Amino acid sequence: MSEEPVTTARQAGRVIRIALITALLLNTAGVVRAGLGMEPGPTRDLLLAVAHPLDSIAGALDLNRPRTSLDAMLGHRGAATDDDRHTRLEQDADRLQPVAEPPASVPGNPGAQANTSEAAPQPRLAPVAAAVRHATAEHPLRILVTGDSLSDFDGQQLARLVSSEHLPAKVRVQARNGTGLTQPSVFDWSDEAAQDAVTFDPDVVVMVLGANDGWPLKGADVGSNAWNSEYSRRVEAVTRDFIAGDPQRRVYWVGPPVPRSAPWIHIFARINDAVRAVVPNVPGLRYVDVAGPTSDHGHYTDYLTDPAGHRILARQHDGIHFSWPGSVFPARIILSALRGEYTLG
Amino acid sequence: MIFPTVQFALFFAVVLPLSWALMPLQRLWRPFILVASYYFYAAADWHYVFLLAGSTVVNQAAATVITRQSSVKVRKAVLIAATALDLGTLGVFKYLDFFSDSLSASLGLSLGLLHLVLPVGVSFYTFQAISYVVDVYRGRTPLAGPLDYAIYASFFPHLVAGPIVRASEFVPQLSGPRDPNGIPAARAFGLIAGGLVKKMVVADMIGTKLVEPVFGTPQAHNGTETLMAVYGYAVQIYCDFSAYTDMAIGLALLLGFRFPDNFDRPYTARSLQDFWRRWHMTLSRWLRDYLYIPLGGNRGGSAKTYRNLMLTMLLGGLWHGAAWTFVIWGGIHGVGLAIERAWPSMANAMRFPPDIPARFPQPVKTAVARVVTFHVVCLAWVFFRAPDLGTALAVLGRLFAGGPSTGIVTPTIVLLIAAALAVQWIPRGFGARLRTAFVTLPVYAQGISLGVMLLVIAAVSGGQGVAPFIYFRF
Repeated sequence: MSEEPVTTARQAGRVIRIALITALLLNTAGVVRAGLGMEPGPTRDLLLAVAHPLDSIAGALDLNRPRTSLDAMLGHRGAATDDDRHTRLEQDADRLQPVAEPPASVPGNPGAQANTSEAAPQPRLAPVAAAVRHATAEHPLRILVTGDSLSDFDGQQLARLVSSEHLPAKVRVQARNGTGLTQPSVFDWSDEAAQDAVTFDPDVVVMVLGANDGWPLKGADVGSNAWNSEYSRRVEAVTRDFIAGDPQRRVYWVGPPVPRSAPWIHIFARINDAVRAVVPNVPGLRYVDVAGPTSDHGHYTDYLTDPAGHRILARQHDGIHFSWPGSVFPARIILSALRGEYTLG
Repeated sequence: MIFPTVQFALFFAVVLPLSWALMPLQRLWRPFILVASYYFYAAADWHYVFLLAGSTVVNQAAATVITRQSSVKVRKAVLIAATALDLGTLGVFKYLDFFSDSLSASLGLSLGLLHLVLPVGVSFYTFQAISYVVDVYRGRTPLAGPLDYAIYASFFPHLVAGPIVRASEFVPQLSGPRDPNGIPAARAFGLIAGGLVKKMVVADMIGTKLVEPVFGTPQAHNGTETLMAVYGYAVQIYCDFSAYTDMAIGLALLLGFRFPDNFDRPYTARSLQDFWRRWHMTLSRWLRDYLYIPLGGNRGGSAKTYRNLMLTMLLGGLWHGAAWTFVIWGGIHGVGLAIERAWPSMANAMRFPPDIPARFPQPVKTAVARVVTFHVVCLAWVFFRAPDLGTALAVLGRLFAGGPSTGIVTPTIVLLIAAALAVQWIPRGFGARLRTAFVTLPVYAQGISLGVMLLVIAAVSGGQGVAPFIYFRF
């Protein structure tokens, strides 16, 4: 240890300052995104107050080029967008009519396009065929389970059910922890959906989302009519991005379960309402309710009883996520919903 | 607040210069660093600040009574009470629901759950508190001043995931201002930058792209993918945990403090005993000094030695988490250590030809020992990683399964695993030469090179945020 080269605290501090300033200037978009993902508070406000103008300056001076070049080289989508304040999800949602005033869609006619305003064409909207698909071992059903952290165990348990029952299906789980629809600047589900549709080409997308969506939307508080309407539009936008390119593809949107405590009880209920409300307008979108069947008459419960009569500790400490053994319950519900539309074996 | 985040960078950018500015004014520095540490802890969950403060007050009070009392009985009673309270706190937060649920399941009862969220770092600071009170009782460390002990207990670099620093190592460093002219900054930067690479590039990538899919749905993967996932988890947990403690050591160095090392190239170990001298070294020595030796160590004959080894490793496993998989993980290590200890007499009893080992050159024997040790460690990691016993057995079962590949074992993943294992064989002197070269650079070049490195790490990690550190759960 005595041979270790040493320096002064002052010099070490200068090196750190130069390093942080260098990293900040070369990665302002990433810092803005990190700031947007922080909890509201003075630290977030301070960071964004510094990072936003710096991002503009860095953009003008082309200082983001090393980062964008690295992203391109590594095949990542860049941290920067053309306009960080208006993400693709927001743009996609803006093209859609508010759900509170639903267009005159044709229930029971799955081939019909959802109505859209003349000023807002829907290039990615595709009709969904009504025919029930018969999956076989040669042509298994390709299922992509994605969403936030809620999707992880649900997807894995769904894969186990499919495997243990020897069903002709392949399940791919792609959890994006900490994401939601209320902060597209942090993670843009429209982008992700469009890319997943191309990368995985699934027959079915099981979208499990909501655990991180307690944020206001366009200034509207959670649960207000404006919030519900905007959330519905975003669900619709993401669904269309998933479906684009394959009219047979369907999206099973799984709402969050009943949580243990406030404010999540209220938030999750509104999320489920918002998803349920948009389903009639979007061909190919299905709503899967796990909240009701995994609750105790609408109230939170730790334990659930499986078909064999065993009581299972179904929830984690946080009162939000399912436990590993407990996530078999939503997985069964999802599988049951899929069986309603697909013949598996 | 975790280290590799913008929030922490902002926090440290404020705390570091203020700490050095106040360092000569110890009456101001002490409360400052205490408040900074509590602020850091409160950022995770402010409720548990009271638990940390309560633990500090209780253990300092116990140490004070132990020091001032001359009655052996009273001293012992206070030691037992303080230790029981520490372990009781740990038990309530960490194990009560686990045992309650286990009892409910086995006896068909319907016991309620407390739903207590595990306070971040409680396992680490509780062990530190126990070691402090025991060392004061044994006369191995003097009673610290109340503020010094509070700083030791809460010092933010080691607070949430170690290393487990002993009072005798840290408190003397609080006796006066730290020397601002003796900062091993190159080592600190190396540890922090290396930690970021290990965590954000290696551990998170291997974890999300290989380990999670296989341990999530083992039946969907063939033997090759399963084997790579097992190796991958060995790399992931090493890179994840050692990254945190490396960064902790580096941050402490920048603040003028030295922590003990916590890892020493563990996958080069030639035996399990050697592994435990290299893996989570501060926990290993804690278990040795405060559990194994008090249980009797190897002083009571072979049978008691094996019993003590097993008990130590089983409890060490349970320390990691309230699940039977952790107990099995500890059990595998306990059995392995016992077999290693018994091997010479076992070989003799089995009339193992004594000249067979002599036929092989030493490098071959060493290589075989390393390979065997690594694979036993990997076997135990399967239980450590799996969410339940069924999954662990399924993963082991799939090691010999055929079937098509799902394409998760990419050249990048293989390269990362190979590189993470290979760097453990880099001679120690290499890092020292690198640091010596670094300090010869001008200050601006040092800063810019580190800044560019941060950029590259952010780009390679994909800017998707940092996955939680595995050891935060413990």
